Amino acid sequence: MKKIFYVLAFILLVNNKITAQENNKFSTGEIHGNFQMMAQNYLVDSTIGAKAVNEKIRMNSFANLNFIKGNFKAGIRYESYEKSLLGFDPRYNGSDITYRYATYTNDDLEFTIGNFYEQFGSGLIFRSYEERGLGIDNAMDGIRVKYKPTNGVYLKGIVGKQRFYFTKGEGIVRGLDAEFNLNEIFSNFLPEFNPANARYTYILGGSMVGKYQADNDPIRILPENVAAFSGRFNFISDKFNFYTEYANKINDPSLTNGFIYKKGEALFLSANYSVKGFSLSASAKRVDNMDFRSDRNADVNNLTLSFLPAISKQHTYALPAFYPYATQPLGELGEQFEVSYNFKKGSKLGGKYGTLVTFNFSNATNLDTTQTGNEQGYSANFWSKGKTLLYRDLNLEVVKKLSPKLKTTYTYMYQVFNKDKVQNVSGYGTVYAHIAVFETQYKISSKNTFRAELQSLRTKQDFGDWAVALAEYTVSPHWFFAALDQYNYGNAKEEKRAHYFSGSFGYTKNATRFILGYGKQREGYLCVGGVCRLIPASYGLSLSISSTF
Amino acid sequence: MKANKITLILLFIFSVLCVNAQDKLPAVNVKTIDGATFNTANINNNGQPIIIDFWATWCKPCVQELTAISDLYEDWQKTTGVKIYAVSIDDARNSARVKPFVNARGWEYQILLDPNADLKRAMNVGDIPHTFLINGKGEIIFQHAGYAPGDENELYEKLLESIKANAVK
Amino acid sequence: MKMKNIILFFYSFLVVIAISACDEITGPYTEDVNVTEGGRKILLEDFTGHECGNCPNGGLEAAKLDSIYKGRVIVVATHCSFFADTNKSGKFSYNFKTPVGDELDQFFSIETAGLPKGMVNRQAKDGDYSIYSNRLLNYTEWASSVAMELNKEAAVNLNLSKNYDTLNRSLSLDVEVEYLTKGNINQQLVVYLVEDSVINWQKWYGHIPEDIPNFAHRHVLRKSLNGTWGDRLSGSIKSVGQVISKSFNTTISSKYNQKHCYIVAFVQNNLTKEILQVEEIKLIE
Repeated sequence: MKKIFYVLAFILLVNNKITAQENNKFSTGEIHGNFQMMAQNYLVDSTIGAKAVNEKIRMNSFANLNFIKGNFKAGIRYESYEKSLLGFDPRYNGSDITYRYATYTNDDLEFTIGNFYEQFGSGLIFRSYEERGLGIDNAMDGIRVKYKPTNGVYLKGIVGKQRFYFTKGEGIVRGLDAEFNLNEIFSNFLPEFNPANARYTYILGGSMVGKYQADNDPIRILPENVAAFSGRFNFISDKFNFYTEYANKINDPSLTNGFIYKKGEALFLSANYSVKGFSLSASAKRVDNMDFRSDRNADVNNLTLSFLPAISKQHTYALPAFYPYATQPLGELGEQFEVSYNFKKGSKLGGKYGTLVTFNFSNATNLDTTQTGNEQGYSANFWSKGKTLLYRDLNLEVVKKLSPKLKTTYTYMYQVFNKDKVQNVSGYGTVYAHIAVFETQYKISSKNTFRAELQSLRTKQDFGDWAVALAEYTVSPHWFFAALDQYNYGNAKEEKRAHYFSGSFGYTKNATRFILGYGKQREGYLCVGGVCRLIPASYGLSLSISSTF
Repeated sequence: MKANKITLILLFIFSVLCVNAQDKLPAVNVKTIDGATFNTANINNNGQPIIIDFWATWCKPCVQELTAISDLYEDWQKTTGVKIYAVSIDDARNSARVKPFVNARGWEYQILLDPNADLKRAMNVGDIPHTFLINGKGEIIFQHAGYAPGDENELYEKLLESIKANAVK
Repeated sequence: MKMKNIILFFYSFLVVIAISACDEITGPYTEDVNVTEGGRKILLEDFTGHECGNCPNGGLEAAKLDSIYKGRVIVVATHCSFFADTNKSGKFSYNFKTPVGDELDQFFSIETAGLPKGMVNRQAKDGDYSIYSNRLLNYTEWASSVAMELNKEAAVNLNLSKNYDTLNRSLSLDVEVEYLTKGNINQQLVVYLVEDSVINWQKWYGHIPEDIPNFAHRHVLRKSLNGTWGDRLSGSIKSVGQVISKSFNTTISSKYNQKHCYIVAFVQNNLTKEILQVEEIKLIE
């Protein structure tokens, strides 16, 4: 594989030289990329449990370089962990090229050699992706071919292995996805199907993914080839949208399911209706033994093939996100409902500038299961819920603009969080929390803005009550200053009632940002998209630089 | 092995030196808000400027920025003819939520879905929000990371500049 | 047109593979294990904690391997990380932690990796010894790793002999290290005291109720007679056939049930932490 890259690099070089000399007569190539660096020094604070590190300062950084010339693309990423920030897996250690690829595109055909990211449907049986901030990267290394044989038919084929820190996982992954846009297919002979004027759109899709991993276990007979299948359907009209996807997996005994030979399945349903100023949406999900990975011995977020995010609302304020829910891939039944209404400007509730109200409800329980006492592990009743509540979230958000300068947001929520089951710990039980957030933003001038947040979380369980205050001052387009205090005033242990104070400022110029921060960070889960990572408590100075070029 | 890798990087850097940057949009398959596959090579506005804004439903500053621009969008369109593509990088957790989210807020942007961050990666975007301004010739002439209230004014100034530059030529 | 055919061939190949390559197993689920003879013994370290609800799964796997490879797999259960923390009273108030366990936890980043984890002769996965946590294996990987290790030749022989006085609980132990291959300066001898079947609380998600008051904790690491990494074996280069002897004298604490106690001695390469050979001896036969 490496040799191919040298050859490609050489071709690039020669090509560039030629075209560059020809005074731009032909389109020359382009090179772009981005760079990100995050460094922190660690000081000790025994109250919050912040630890020092031998290296004093730790740093994560990476840079991407992408080259494009006509139909040809190639690129590399260089990553460096000297050593990795606390909370990242220690196997992120050292510096190396971790990603390199070359892609050729020609009309209806695209092929890639090297690394790539890909997703089939909503990712129930295959999603290869990256969340650099969480240390998640299960990039494929192999071959991908995308092909559009005729209008409305999209095929994708993949073969390769997944990234595992600085090495690759054992399992060989092979997959195929086909998507059929019925409107595009039939538009040639049925004009009412033409996407340009059709009232309804129908999209069908199906995929299969297989993995191979040798059985070196001297005791057990393990399946070396495990396959998963999925089918999906999407109906779209102007106001109404319906999506469903079903996935099924054959016996896949693994570390995460405790070596049971039961089949796995997952069903996802989602529907929404929306017009300007009003929207309604609902979704439901059932997951049963659907933890699918390219290595049966993998754990945490390593070598995942299936992507099963929670369907509950993703919160961004600090305290509402304090208890983040994550799907239980071994068994979960969840539903979610949301309604949004924008009271028009000038109406009674809308006031002079309008008011946006959003109500959201989500719920997740375990499955109704019976232990079978054999290699199947358990059987689950498809139509009934289990008795254990994993998560519930009821929340209401009101966004109100009071004047062109003043904007406020009020949020209230009630959360039930089964900490033992969701975080796989013991002795914490279930947390019942009332959370309120008030946010206000005042525009002092066209460039200067002040923003403040006051948040409260009240619970008798876990760490008890919390309060958060944030003040932020921005000067467009370059500067921001922020001060934050998180206070655990209701901790049952008095010595743990700590203030977590931190301050930061940042400078932005075009696509380059510098942020310097100092202070204490509480232990907590950092979540992006559907996945979370535990960040230990820390205290110290941090610097981050990012740039796109 | 290490030495070989360094050679590879040097080759790359050397090729940069030989390259005349034109900053065209990459061609990547994303989804329209109606679920159809859409190639970003088809992004166009008949020779008038384009803004591409990367956002997500869970990203507060992104929503702030798009809300602020939404109030001005009609005026901007009248004076400059600009067309805004708001590219949502929401993954499967939230991508079904994008359409109701946009409609409830009454946004008039062209919405594209990039659930596996393919376009985001191709345009080398790190954290969001990230905004690109593309002139009538399809060249990226300005980009901005992050959002502070008032940044939309800077964007508008750049937009006007690009129109002038085009007119002079 | 040719290109098109190649692509279609590629896709049909994937379809055929995906459909035909399904190993559906309807039983039997286990196979007969081919237990080979040999001089090499294996140290299986089971990192566990009483409040770790998945850890008994690791313990079960260790017990399974112990019974299959009778006498050739020696198990030591090391309680460590926050899962082994103690409550002031009530459930889980017994302290299983040891300074050795804490040091191993720190060194191999066990707490970060999560429990249960294990090490088979402290062998690194993929042979990459630069990252210490590469030695940590999930319990589903122990069996294959043990089978692989058992196929290797022994580098040294260990002979243990003891003199134990049950009344004043004093132990004098002699360890003979006999070199079967050429040795080097980095090799160290480590001696642990282990107590089997300690009855106390354990959390187990696979059990109803989850909190078990009278769980038998097997192979509990109690202490090291000579530090976490042991003593250096004298002489920079050891020739084949050379024998190095070490003696230890210690008193066994009355907190431990001497009938259940045994000594585990092993030789390790202190640079890579790989274990070359291990042996055990009971205090009371």
